[in-house]
Amino acid sequence: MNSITDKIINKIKKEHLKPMPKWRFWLRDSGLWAGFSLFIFLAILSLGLLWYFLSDEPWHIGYGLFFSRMPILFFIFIILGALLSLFYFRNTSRGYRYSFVKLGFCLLVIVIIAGWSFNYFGISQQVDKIFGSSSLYQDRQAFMKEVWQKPTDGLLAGKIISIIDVNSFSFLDFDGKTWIVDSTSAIWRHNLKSEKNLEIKMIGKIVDNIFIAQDIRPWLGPGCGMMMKVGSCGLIK
Amino acid sequence: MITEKDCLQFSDNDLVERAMSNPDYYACLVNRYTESLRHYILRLGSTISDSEDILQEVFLNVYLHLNDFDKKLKFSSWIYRIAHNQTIDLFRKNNVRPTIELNDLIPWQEMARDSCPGCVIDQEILKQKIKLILEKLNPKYREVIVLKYFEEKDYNEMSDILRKPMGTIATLVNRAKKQFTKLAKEQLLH
Repeated sequence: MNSITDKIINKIKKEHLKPMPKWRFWLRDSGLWAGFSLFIFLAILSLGLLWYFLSDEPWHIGYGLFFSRMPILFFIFIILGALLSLFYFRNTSRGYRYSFVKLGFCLLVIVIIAGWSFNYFGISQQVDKIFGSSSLYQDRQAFMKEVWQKPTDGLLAGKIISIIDVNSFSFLDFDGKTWIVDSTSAIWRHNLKSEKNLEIKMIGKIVDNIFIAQDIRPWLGPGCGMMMKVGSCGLIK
Repeated sequence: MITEKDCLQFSDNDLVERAMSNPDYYACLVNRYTESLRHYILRLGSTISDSEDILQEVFLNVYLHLNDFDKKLKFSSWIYRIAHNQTIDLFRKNNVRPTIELNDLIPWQEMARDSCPGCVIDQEILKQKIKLILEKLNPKYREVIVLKYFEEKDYNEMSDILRKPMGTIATLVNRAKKQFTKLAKEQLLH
């Protein structure tokens, strides 16, 4: 044995040193994987919710609305979740073998596909309901009302208060004003049917104090992507 | 007591297994890696006196972390990684500039001659000039050059030692060679 070997072995024996237990390393590795899973889930969920919130926006009135009223918080969560999951993955035992760019690209694809699936299968809608009473949700309601309560711009939101006939109903908007709505040429999205107390949002125009509806949608989103056909959305019947 | 002859029968992974319950088997691993790690630590820029301390710390650390060894990796890559980190940490802690000990010049000489094919230089002057080149070489480039040309590690092992993707290692090696050639031309022509 050489001198350094003697020193090391003597020290180990004299101080009764033992290799650290496996569970400590297992705990560290599990922590890293848990961190990765948590943050990628945060990014996916945020994207799913964002997709859900924006899928029913009145895009025809311009994309300026999208940029000016984007729920920034969700954007931050998506970016933060993606970056932190990347950090955690890179620190796992073999994460260093993957290049930052390739890994970032793969995570992005996973987040986009999973985020879209969350929206498609109605998970985003369920989460939206679960967090219904949170302040975030209140903000969203306020934001939606601001967007959809613009009769002069052809946007109207509120509740059906009575059915007049097959093609018209009486409607109370979120500002408390009552309207007569003509739905003769309206498209009822997502299998909606005219019924009392139904909360809806509409695109149309005002003619002689009557709101002529062209497009009628549920007040809270459909729970599936805006690219989907009517009635084909995941959990929503 | 385990003899050196006994040690030869076992692979690194077998010795790791046995060392968990009997530190005498760990002596085999220490013996097996002392010289190569000492050279590696010196080539990274440590002084001779520091290298002994680093070496002891490395072997103690490795022993304490034996359960952290991933058997899908080569044990040599793992122990080199720990030695690398320990050496770099010491440089940072003491805020010292690595000093190059030129005790094994051959690969450096070959690289320097490739950089300036027609140059005829006295050995002693060449040694001094190479020392200057190495001290000027960016540490991240010196690390990969040491691993590739002195330790003769392949890209896969270098990736495991430095915890960097293989593509990054290849890029670093290329850049290191370019920087070495550039500095060698400047030094050897003056």
